[in-house]
Amino acid sequence: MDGHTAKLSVDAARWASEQVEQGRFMSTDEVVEVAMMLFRAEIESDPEVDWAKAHALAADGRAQIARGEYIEFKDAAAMDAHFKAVIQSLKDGRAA
Amino acid sequence: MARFRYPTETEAIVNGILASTFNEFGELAALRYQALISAAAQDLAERLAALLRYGLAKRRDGLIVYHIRHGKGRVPRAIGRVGKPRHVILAELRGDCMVVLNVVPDWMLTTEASAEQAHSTARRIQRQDDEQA
Repeated sequence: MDGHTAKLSVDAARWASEQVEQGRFMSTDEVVEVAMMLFRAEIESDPEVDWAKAHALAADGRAQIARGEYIEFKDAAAMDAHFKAVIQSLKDGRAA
Repeated sequence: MARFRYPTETEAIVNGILASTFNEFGELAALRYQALISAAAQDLAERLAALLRYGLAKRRDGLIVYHIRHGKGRVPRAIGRVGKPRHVILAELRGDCMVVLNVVPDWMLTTEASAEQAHSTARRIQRQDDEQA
């Protein structure tokens, strides 16, 4: 990978092996993309999701959206700035 | 360009996560965690198809589950890295809007069997860290 060394966790290697066994091959570009994603995320295998719990935990949020109780950001920068301001207010509160 | 929508309560939850991180670990840690949550949400908005394809995000009946640790690569190195992020984003895509329905601790979503497996892995990693220390 462009002369860089990549570490692959045992779990990630097992995942890659399973993909090959299932006949799912990738182009070189895709291999590099996924390898970088895995490398950057220091991926461990995600625990199995309990979908019943997931849907239950999302239910209130869906209901609020339906009632129009939400805050919307026009883009990622606005979202980022909003939450940074939250931390700034915490900092200001501590200083006061 | 994607929009982002947070239910009022979910925004309060994120604010609470940032506040507790701020109070417990300080401003820089809070900024790191904030950057990671934002990066993960942005990840979902910008490359959902790839994340689903590679199994980093999961989706069932429209609900997307994404562990924020997968957003680490998007956080600028200068901000620093969160060691062990422990939150998962629950979201859904509505047109060009990524709706962040909830942000929850990862243990709340796991089945009992996989929770035991995760604990086992955590213990193994801790042992390795102890041996290296």
